[in-house]
Amino acid sequence: MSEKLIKESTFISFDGALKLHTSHQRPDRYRHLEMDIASRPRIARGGGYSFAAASFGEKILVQEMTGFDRFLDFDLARKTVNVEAGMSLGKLMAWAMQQDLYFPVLPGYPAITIGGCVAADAHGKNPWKDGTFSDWVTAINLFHPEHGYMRLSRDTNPEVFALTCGGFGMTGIIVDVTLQLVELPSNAFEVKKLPVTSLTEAMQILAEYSGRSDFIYSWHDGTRRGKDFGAGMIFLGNWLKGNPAGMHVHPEKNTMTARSRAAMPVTLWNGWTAAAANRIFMAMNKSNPVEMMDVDKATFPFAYNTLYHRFYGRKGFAEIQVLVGLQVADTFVQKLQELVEQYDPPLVLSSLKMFRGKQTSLSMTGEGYLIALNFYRNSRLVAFLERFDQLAIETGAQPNLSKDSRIPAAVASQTLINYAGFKSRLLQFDPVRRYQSELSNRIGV
Amino acid sequence: MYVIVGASSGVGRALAEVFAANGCDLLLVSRAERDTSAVAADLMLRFGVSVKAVKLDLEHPQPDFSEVLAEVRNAGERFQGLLVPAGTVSNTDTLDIDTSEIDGLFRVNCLSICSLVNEILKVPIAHAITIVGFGSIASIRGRGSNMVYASAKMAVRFYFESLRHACAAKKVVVQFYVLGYMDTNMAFAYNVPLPMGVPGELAQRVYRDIHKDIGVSFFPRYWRIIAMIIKLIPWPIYKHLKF
Repeated sequence: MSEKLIKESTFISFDGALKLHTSHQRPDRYRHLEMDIASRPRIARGGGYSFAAASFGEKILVQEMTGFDRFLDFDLARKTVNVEAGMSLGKLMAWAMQQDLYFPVLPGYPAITIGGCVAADAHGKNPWKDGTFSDWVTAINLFHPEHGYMRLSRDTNPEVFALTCGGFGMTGIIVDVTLQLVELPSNAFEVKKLPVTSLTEAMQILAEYSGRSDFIYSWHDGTRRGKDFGAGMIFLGNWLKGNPAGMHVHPEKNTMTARSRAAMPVTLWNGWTAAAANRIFMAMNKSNPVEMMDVDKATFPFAYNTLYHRFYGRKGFAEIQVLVGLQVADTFVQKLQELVEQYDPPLVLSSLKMFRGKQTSLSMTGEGYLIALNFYRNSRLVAFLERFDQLAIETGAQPNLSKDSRIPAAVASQTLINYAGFKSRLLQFDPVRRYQSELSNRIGV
Repeated sequence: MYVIVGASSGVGRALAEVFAANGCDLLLVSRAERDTSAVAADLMLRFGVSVKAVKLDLEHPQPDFSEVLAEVRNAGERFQGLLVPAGTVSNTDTLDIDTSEIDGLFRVNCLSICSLVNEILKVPIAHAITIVGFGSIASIRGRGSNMVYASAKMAVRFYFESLRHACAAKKVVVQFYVLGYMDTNMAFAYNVPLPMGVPGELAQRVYRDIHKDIGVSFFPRYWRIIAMIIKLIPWPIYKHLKF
């Protein structure tokens, strides 16, 4: 019997920059994955939390994987768990913590899926110490119509494994993933907050503490200029010893999606509101320099405070994140400040952390500082971003493709270390290039 | 132990999850063995209950119930009930439908379900059990789309009403849920005029009322009123409606 399983849906990137209508399938059985759709371009989609349009594109069939969210196997001795790719991080962690286990690399929102994390090679709150998501993946089950189901690991089909980790779904559908878990040290973190007066000072502290902190990142008020540019706060967290009582809370049930994030018709962020909110945030944290924080809250901060993203409204926001090499970091920060002073972009906040990545796909690789900048959208932003791209090319700063929804092919090809190699190896694996997205087409892969 | 037929996805999978979360052992039955095995593995890991997956093709002209019946016999007094949310639709189910598809739709949505219930009731069972069937609001009144599916669902509803009457003096509770649009793959690709029901919420209600003699129930409940209105629409108007 012929089932009708495909409809037309509207998709929106999490940053609100791109919205389009295309075909949509929601497989919940293996035979749906294997359905014959000829050579039609397609792409798998998880929770839809990539800021860029990595999981949809014009005339591309979106295969939403959230129905594939089951636990398949658990090896207690090895502490490995095999889960389907559509499982959310929140579901994984809720189960893992019942077993006194933990997954060390967790991006900030619990509804992000495991498959999405592999595809984007996501990172957590201390990638310098913990590496990236793919470092903790021991095996992948990939489906591609030409190759069938393929077991991938560092020993089996290692080439395809390497292409898939940080390959933004271009090798096929990640069906299930085996993850390495670790023992859960405690149910809470002690978070210390250290004020800093500049990005350079933040980098010095990050360099000193990243190797011996369980998580560490900085936050900076983006509205400051002149001598106050980069004023902010370092958040330095370490597991508490033991399990303090009353430390378990859960994120709100109504999870934010790309659509609900963009529900407000206007943006509430502007120079005044951003400056006021940042000063209040700074003052609150200064008055509370050491905080005990529940694991969930420390792990998934955006689940507890969705207003920041919702305030950007329908117009959305722009985030750029680049990996800046250790040797050029000081120069980069100095030139960044010059650019900000010159173009006065609508910068709300920036953030730094140290990073260490070793994938050979499209994700950032090497060692350095991750610098993220968040903007509301106005007329000054475009000129700033064009100049920022030049700075990235000049300094070899690698962009995070999942965060920046506008990176053009010329910038990606000149900045991503493995761009050319990835492209040629992908074409060898899939000459037809069945798995495409707006992102893959935009960057010319 | 509860037997859930059609447990690989949709409403069946949601039922399996809720019943397992409440500590019930399960026998999951569907033709999609890979999917049902994955559901079984998931529930055992998460809830620590015993879950077994069995393959059964309700579309087959002579479905093989032997494995299901053997499990029911082996379970003895642990066998607590049978839930049959299995069903299928075809996008060619209109005036142009192929005759062979009519057979298949009737077997999956009605005939094989009746046969399975019949066979299970032949197993000597002295304790109380519950048998739950699931229909569709598509069968409220005849219409030009999903003609065969709606007919089969109407027939299976009639069978369950008859079954309830036949078992009135026995320790068998018979329930039947008439489902509105549900947020499953069966309705995913269709533009429906009303909000879809959430399978998990239905499953919670089924579990809550599993021992009650509720007869026929609608989910979501407002469909009972809509069904009454649809039945009252005069034919000269009804024949022009497209839904």
